[in-house]
Amino acid sequence: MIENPFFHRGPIRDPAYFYNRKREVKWTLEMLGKGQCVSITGPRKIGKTSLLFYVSRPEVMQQHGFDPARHLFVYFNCEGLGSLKLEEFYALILEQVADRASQQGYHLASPERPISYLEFERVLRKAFDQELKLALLLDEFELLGQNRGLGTEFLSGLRALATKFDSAYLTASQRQIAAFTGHHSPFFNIFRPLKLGLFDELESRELIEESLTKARAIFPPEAVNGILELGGGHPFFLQVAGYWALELQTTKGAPLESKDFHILAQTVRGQVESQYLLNISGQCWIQRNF
Amino acid sequence: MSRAYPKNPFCLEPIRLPSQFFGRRREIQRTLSFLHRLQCVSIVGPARIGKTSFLSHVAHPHVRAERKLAEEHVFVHLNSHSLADLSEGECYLHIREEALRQIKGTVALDKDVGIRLEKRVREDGSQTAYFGLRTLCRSAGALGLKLVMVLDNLDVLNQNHLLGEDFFSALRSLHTNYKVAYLVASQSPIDKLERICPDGSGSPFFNIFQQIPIGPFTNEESRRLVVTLLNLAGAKFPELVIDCILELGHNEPHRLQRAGYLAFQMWQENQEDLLKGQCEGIRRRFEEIVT
Repeated sequence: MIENPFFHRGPIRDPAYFYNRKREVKWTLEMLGKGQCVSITGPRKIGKTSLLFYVSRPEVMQQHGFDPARHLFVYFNCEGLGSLKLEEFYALILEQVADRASQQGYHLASPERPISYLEFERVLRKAFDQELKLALLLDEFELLGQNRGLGTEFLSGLRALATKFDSAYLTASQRQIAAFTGHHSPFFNIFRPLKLGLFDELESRELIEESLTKARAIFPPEAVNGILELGGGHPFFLQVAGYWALELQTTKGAPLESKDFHILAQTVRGQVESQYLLNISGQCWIQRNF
Repeated sequence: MSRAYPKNPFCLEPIRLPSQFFGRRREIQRTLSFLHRLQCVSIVGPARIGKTSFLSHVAHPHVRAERKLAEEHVFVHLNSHSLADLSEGECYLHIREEALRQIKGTVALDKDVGIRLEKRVREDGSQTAYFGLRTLCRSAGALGLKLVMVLDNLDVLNQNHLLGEDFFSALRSLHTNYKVAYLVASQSPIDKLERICPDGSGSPFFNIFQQIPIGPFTNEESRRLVVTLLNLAGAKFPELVIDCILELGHNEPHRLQRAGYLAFQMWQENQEDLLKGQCEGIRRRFEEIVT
């Protein structure tokens, strides 16, 4: 039985399934290399988390001139932390940094209780004294904006850290940072923005064709065009459309024909209706056809 | 001397044994393929269509081994009814303790793994219940475990007024951060459960799920269920009686099981004989119970 290669519904961890975004990866790593903070924005399911995972892979870092032994890229997901207090937050970040550092053979104290900013800074200083460079990858960053326990003090602390030490932030959110941190906070103005958008046709084709190669499966050209239209350049919608096209073809036991596209479109539409409603990019086939 | 009658092979409870589970071949393959890659799956279907049986079936080690999919995963079964009136913190605690208990009881695992996992969780002494659960997931991953959290009756959890956006956001983060996937079942599509997909900022819980609908059986699947179960019990029914069961069954597994159960009862009452005239009796008893 063919293993369907269009299986990703959550973020992509395996680099073999991460397609395109070469320009974005290069630019992001260039910026981080220069100590610049980067804020990735884009609609839901466009691939922000996958990009964070990808750039923090040692082989990718190496390809872009980073030394994975010295550069700590620490992924930090802000989901589920809505009620955390400032001191707990510092302790948690430090725990993640210490975890990552220990993977590289460095020892950093991991706090067992909430800590103040000063303690937080003190432990991090030890890391920087060992010539470690830190990039904090803050995913779902806007969720921190909802946390009343953090406030502007937290953002000022993060900003101070980036100014004092060899560290940078890479954030991912749907909206621009200023939209949820407030324009009065100077935090947002240390960021270079990167908007993650839809794939163009060539990139979309690449996703479909390389995935098919992995499964040693073939679609007739009209089926590829059908998937392109259904996916509308959105990587997640392309995955879903590709998945159901291959399932349909396998069930049918013969190449897809244009008469099958109606069923395919209906299935895909049923699967992604809510995703579409939550997506505000306004450019997908799915939006035009609802 | 009284004769020992065979046990009624039809089942009125959710199916637990793979040999009593029928149909759903494609749905099983799809579900296990996603779980194999630690992707989350949401099973959607009307009441009594067999969602609970389906969850038990795909989680069964023999079923996974047969397909060579998700063989090494540890399935943790959580009951939404147990979480229905718990606060957020109590839910995290319940999930953590249930997961620990079931991981320790997983036969295929080295006993030492469960003990080490529990030690790590207890030693961590986390400040909040959520961090305790995070520690469990992180430590399980570090010990090489891939967890599948199975949540049946998600609609019930959706009714828990003590849970908010944060709770589901936290569950989502466990999937993003660690080797954890969810297998859930509900009557309403997961994206229609308002507590689970609130219109807030951040990413909603539902958008990491592949929805797999399950509906009525095909005619062939229904017939296979009835004929196979009768064969298993060594019972031979006239074709007309089988047709009667199929007709009452409406291709819905629970109705087929119910109709088959009643027919089998009558067959036993009639000294292992059923005449086509007795179809009316089966029909009458079935309608009485169903209505």
